[in-house]
Amino acid sequence: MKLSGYGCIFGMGLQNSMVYRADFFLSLFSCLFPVIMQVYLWTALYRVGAADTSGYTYEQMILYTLLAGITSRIVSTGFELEVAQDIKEGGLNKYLVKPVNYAGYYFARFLGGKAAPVGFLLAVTAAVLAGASAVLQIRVEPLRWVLYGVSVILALALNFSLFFAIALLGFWLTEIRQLFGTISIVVMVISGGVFPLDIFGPAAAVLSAVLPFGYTTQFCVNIVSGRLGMQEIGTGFLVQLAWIALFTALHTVMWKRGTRRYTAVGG
Amino acid sequence: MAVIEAEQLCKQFRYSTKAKGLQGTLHNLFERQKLTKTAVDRISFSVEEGEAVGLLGPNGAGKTTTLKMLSGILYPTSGTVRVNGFIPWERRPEYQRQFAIVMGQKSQLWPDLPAVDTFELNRRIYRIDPEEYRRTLAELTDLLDVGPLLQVQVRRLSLGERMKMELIAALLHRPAILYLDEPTIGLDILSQRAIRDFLRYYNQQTKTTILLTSHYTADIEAICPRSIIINHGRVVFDGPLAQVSEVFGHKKLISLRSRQDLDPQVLASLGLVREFTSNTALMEVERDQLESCLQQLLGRLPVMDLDVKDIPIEEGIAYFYQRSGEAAQ
Amino acid sequence: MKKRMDCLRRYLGLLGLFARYSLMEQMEYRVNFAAGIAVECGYMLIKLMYAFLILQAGVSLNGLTSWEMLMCVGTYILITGLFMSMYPNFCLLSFSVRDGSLDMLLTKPVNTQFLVTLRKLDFGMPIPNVLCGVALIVYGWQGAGLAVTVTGIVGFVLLCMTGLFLTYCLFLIPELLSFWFVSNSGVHQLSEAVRDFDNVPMNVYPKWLQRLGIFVLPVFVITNFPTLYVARKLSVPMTIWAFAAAALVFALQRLVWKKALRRYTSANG
Repeated sequence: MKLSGYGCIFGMGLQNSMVYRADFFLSLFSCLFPVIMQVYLWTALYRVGAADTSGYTYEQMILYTLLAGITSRIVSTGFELEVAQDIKEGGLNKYLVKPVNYAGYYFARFLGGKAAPVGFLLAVTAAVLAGASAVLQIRVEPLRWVLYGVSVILALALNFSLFFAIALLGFWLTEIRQLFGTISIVVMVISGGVFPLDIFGPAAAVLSAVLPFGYTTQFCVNIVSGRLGMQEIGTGFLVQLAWIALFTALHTVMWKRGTRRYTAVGG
Repeated sequence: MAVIEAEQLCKQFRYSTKAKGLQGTLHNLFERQKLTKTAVDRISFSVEEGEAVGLLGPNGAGKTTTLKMLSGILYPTSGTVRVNGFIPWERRPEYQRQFAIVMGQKSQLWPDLPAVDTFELNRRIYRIDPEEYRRTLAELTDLLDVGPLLQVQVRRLSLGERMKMELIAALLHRPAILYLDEPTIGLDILSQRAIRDFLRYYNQQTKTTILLTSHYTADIEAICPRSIIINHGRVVFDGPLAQVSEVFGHKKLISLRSRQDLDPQVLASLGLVREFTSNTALMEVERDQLESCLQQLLGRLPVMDLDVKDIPIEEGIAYFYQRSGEAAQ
Repeated sequence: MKKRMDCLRRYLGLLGLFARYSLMEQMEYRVNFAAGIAVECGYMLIKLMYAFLILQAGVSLNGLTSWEMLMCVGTYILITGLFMSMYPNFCLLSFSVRDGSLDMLLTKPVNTQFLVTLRKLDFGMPIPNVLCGVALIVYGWQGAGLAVTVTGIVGFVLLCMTGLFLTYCLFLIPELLSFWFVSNSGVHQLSEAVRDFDNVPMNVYPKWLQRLGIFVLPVFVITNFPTLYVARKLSVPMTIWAFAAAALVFALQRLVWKKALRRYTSANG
């Protein structure tokens, strides 16, 4: 299939995400809530001087909370349910007979579904950060914003390949669908989407540097918050690329094995 | 006494359209056009106790929607229905214990458990006396010949076996009225026949009122002495199915095979030629010209085989489907 | 009265049967059952992170000691766990509305809401939550040095049950919107986000938000009131409000339920 074909699928993804207009705005709105909750929690804890946060200042922590809420939303997926459904109920057949790469199809649709929310989120981000930096008096170099953008693009690819591999587990675990909601939340948390993981001690800091999850959110956010030096940022990019390659290889193998094993459940 | 009485029953669905392409989507984000589709349009009919009535109609004619309103699944837009004095969509337990619905496309069985577990659940839901339950279950499994399959997980059963289990699940509480929506859809010929035979027997033995929709004329012919044809949401025919072809009662079909090749022009002078190969033909003639036509055919042609038939029921049905379609437009 | 008891016995019997069938079903998919527990443990990790932060701070916040706050978090975990046992039905609801598989359930001579919302019971997911929730509550109760009395325990359990009932009613309403809209995943996400406000005790929030969460959308009643009662920080009118809120939300939910069923269009799947 030609690139224009994937472009068309991208367009369909975009349309789909907007047809469900109420959903679209509500889910954007709902990502605000945990951020509000955390801001209040940190404000309360810092006010009584009780937060032991391994070097995060109040301003850094609030900035982290805001940005992590948005970033984790940008990279979040949601197609895994559909993929597993296809596997379980035989919907895969219609892709197997088409000259289309299934992973490519979903990646195009995933990006298409992202375009509108991300556009909107970027506007929100700009507004929030303008407000926050005025209130908290934080200054961020423009270069770091550019690097943040690059890291988010890589994070999107990484999160896609990660969740696609998880979705393909549906070949072996037929009822896995019920777990996706939970899995994605857990991944979000160990990605640093709620708290920066390094506040939970040195062990957590090491884990977040070694495991792939941190590179979908925490790494991106810490580029902006200034916790990372330029050299660390460079290494981070390489690690992101390495994980993308690894998970792509993994889901390619899983796809091959899975389709071989796949028996369509007839109606 | 009429068990089911429907009057001016009407159901409309509202839906919104979406214009094509991205532009349409953007437009849709702010404004949607609401459309109304009339699935059932002022239908009136009544069914007597113990009757077996077939509902016929093309796809989207409103048969299933009608059944769903009769069983209280859907609220009608307007009109009235009384079934044994109950208004179905009030969904009173007293009414719900009097009927059952079986849908070929929808299952009430728990797929991962043996069918007998669903039966036990239904026993409790319908509050069936254990002794009576045991007797009914034995009788039904015997009639449908599924005794050894009761302990098998439903998802491991064949489609035909599954439908038999659906029927048992529906009949355990001995409903007075049985609604069936495409009960033989997708089944092989043997299973179709088994279900058909069972339903006819059951209707005759227990005097259970049956209302059945099906795309298979054979189902209706076997089970239902009376049929109602619905099209575009309206009743267009009500009576014995055999009468459907009476609109063509003045016509007959002659199929013939000759020893030599036939001359189409000779045939055309005798009647309407429907099908033609070198030495066989199917002709349609007026009944009052049948005799002379036959004489001429036998006299002028080396006929090897000849058969005179009525116009098949399907054609009568198709006629009603089409005619009401035109009338609606 | 006797009729009422009969009815109750019948529904409890049905519930028992649902539990048995659900368990049998889940034993068919043992790997998934185990995976469910495992992932639920992960979920709990998040909640424990909040508990950890609060306990680590070790100070009083707006009138609650950190031990009492720990009890609140424990209550949240416990009630969420119990709620999880019926959660599969909530998730299935929008699917069943869309593909019309609700049809058969609507024709049964039992309360439809009972059948639709309690038919599938999950046994895996509640296990880690209930264990951990109870542990946190006991640990917090001891740490806070609160007296262990019969009235304390009875009141706590009663308020927890009210909280569970409130959770059921409150979070069924957004699921019911699937009768009106093709997709309700947005509302679903929003309601989950609202529920997550209970991750931390309400005293962390400013007064206006507390009032909102007690009187308008009573999510704070669910997880804070049992602890407040035991710590003798819950006034009598507030205690009464807990039950009144449950009754009100139940009435509202029944109203929406009835309206929703009228909208059901029974798609042909």
